[in-house]
Amino acid sequence: MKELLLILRWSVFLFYFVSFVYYLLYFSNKNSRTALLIRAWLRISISVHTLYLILLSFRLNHLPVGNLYQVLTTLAWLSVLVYFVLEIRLKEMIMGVFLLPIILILHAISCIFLDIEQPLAEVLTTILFEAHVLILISAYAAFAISFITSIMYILLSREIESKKPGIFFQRLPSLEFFDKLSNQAINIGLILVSLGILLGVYMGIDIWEGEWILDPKLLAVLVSWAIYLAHFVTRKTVGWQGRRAAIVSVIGFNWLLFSFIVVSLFFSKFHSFQ
Amino acid sequence: MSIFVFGFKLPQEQKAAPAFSLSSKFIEKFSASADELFVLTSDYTVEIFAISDKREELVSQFMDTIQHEWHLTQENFKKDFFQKVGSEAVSHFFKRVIGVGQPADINESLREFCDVFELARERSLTGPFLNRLYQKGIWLSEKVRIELSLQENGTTTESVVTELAQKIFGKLDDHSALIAASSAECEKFVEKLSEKNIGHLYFLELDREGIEGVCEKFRGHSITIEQMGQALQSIDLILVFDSGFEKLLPAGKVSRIMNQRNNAPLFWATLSFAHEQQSKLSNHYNVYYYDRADLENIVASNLKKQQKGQRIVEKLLENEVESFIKWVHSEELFRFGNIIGRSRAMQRILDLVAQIAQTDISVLIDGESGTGKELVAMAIHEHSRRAKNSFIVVNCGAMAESLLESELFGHVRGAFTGAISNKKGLFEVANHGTIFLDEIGETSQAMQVKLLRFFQEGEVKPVGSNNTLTVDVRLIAATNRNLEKLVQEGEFRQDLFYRLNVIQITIPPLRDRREDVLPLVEFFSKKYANKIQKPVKGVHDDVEEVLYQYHWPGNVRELENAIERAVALARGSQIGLTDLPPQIVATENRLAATEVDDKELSLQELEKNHIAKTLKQYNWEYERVTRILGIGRTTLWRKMKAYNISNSQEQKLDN
Repeated sequence: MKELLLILRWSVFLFYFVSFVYYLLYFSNKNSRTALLIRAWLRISISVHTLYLILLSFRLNHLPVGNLYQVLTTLAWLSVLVYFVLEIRLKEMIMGVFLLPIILILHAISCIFLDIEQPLAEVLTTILFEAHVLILISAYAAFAISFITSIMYILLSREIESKKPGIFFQRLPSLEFFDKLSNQAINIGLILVSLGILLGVYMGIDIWEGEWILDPKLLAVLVSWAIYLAHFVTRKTVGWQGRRAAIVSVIGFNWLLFSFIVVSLFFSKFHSFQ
Repeated sequence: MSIFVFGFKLPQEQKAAPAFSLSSKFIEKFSASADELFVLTSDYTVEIFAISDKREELVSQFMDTIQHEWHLTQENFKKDFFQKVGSEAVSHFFKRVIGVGQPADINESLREFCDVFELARERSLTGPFLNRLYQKGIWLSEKVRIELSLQENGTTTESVVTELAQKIFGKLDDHSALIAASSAECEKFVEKLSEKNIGHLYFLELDREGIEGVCEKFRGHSITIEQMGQALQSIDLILVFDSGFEKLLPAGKVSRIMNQRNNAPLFWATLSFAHEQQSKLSNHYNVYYYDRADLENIVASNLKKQQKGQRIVEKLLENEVESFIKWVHSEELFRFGNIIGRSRAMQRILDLVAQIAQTDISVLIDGESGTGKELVAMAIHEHSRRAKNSFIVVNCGAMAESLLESELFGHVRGAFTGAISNKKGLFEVANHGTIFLDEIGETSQAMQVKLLRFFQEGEVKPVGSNNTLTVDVRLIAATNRNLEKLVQEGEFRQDLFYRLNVIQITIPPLRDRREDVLPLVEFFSKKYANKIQKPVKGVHDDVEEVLYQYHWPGNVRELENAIERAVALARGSQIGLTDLPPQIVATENRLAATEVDDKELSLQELEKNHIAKTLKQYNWEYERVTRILGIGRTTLWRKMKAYNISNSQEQKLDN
């Protein structure tokens, strides 16, 4: 079982890597045959990843959301899943070339550091806790989608502004497409993150009896929540559409990843479950 | 024989008769004098691709028809007439497949071309030359498509403007544009935008006279200068052609409008030449400002990219033309290895041979004796990776069973009486090569079991030996009996049959592919003339007819022997009737014996019977049949369809 999991998780990495290579190819030649290959490879990758997570859940006896490294691979899985649905619905494959590097990094970190044997604090194996983490991970996946669309918005709008249309002008769909997508993803993410925090606070009252107010992880998430809320508000009031909104989204996601990893690793207070 | 193309651009005013209606006329006229023919028509041009050695004749016929139809003078005709020969014609064909020089969408024009060509192929107007040309063309167009898709950007100012708008706004359906122009020069731009379904078009009333027509044509709204401030809140695209606009909406005012619009992106293109103030527009957030110079720069760089792409395409085209011409001269066309066959059936077999030669698949060849099964097997061997290694022929029918076994598998010393030394079996000798088992249907059941074991395991056990050897041999088997029937009768093992019958090649008897008779005659007469050093230069016309009509029970072998004899007996430089073996000349052996029909027939029935008979007699060689019946190819085709006459054999091949 242990060997199987080890093999599986590296093959997941390998499959994503192959998909990434095909996305790169597609970006350079936009060939319809490559597009078919991408579909197939991404499907295989997601299936193998799903299998891996299922087996991991059985092994751990709970959903793979117990610590940082479990969360990272689940986050990667969910982001790809959301992206895959988007790709089919929007009929636009070009974003994969930007998303997959992030997925590869997230999954690789998880692969290197995840200890399959590690037990989990008894108190945290409740359904409520798992819901709390899953909701937050879904929110992060939404933010990840917003992040890559924002990056593409910035690249494209720079090219249009510089008056020298180049490769991005050639390959990417329109600014409006990215703006709308990023905005929708952030709105969904914002709702989910609010829900997740509320759920956490509710559980925290029971478990920690007031101490949790100063928890660094909670603070970090509150800051990202504020950033994304600002995105929502400025867009509606002062008209921060387009590039500015994209920059806010990029900042938000960078903060999210940074705080998530740093806080989990270095502030191992009680909100960390290693 | 050469490949060439000629064509003519019809005068536009003759709208009553577009080129399309002409194509059937030309097909009917020319199919008799061309080996292969393909007529391509687009709105007002006719182009005729042909393989023939009567170019002058065809061209002058073409000229007559066109001049007659349109009452044109020689000079008028010359102006719009073109012809190309050889590699230029090949290149022209490729260009047509790819769609170079045609304004329409590449995919669209390719599909159209394919349809027309497939139609011509169905009517058997095309042959090996044009078919190969077509295949190559399709392949080429795929490469070109990839090459060009990398630089398919607009090369006019209006298309660049539209592209930019689309990159900013996506679909233009729910975005509106304001046009500030005082003359009709904006028309191309407006047209391009409305092609992309732009939401609303507002025309600013600067000078009603100038743009009223354009406004009406594209169903735009005319707005006054006072209304503009309000309208700008819902307008995302501004095209300025009039330098006076700068005063109406100075750059300073734009920030207020942008605030009102909640900073929704605005695309502003100034196409007039005076624009001092407006260049400040670039500083506004979410305003994408382009002036005329910017747009023209983009057009120039797109043009450059496109030219680069075209150079690559030209290079590709050149290479392909060269390799095609090389192929034509390499005589691979009608010959493959030592096989001569220009009939459709043989061409298909040769295609198949080329396809499977590179693999290690076992092949079962069947056909009447003398049809050249061994030659086909040899061709497969020679074109495979095993060509350098041995090709061993074993005739299974010629040997007694025990002898065959020791021949194939070898024996060790003392295995049986007379086995005085070790002997390698032929399977071992053929290691890494090909073994050809002729008359496989004649082997005994016991032998079949041993063969099957060998084919499955790849192991040889010499007679009397205890050791087995592993060998790697490709298997080709041949038979002139119907193996399937033998299997049903229980005389041939089913499992062995399936093992052999991975690919089956059936060589039709010579009487079913008469087109091959004359090329074969030519080949053999040359061969034997050289061999016995006699200046024989072919056959007399009468002899040609006799040879063509004979039913050739012994197939190619009989033909070869007949020609060898005839060359030896020939007295002049041509083979005469008396030189042929008597059974060939005897009239009762000809296929053309006329049947006497006593039934009372209507003229129609008579026609139907006659056409069917002639077709059969000449083995569905439409070219010959049309000549004999004195009707055109299209007429023949139409009548065949009307009387429901079809070539059952060809259908079988198609399946």
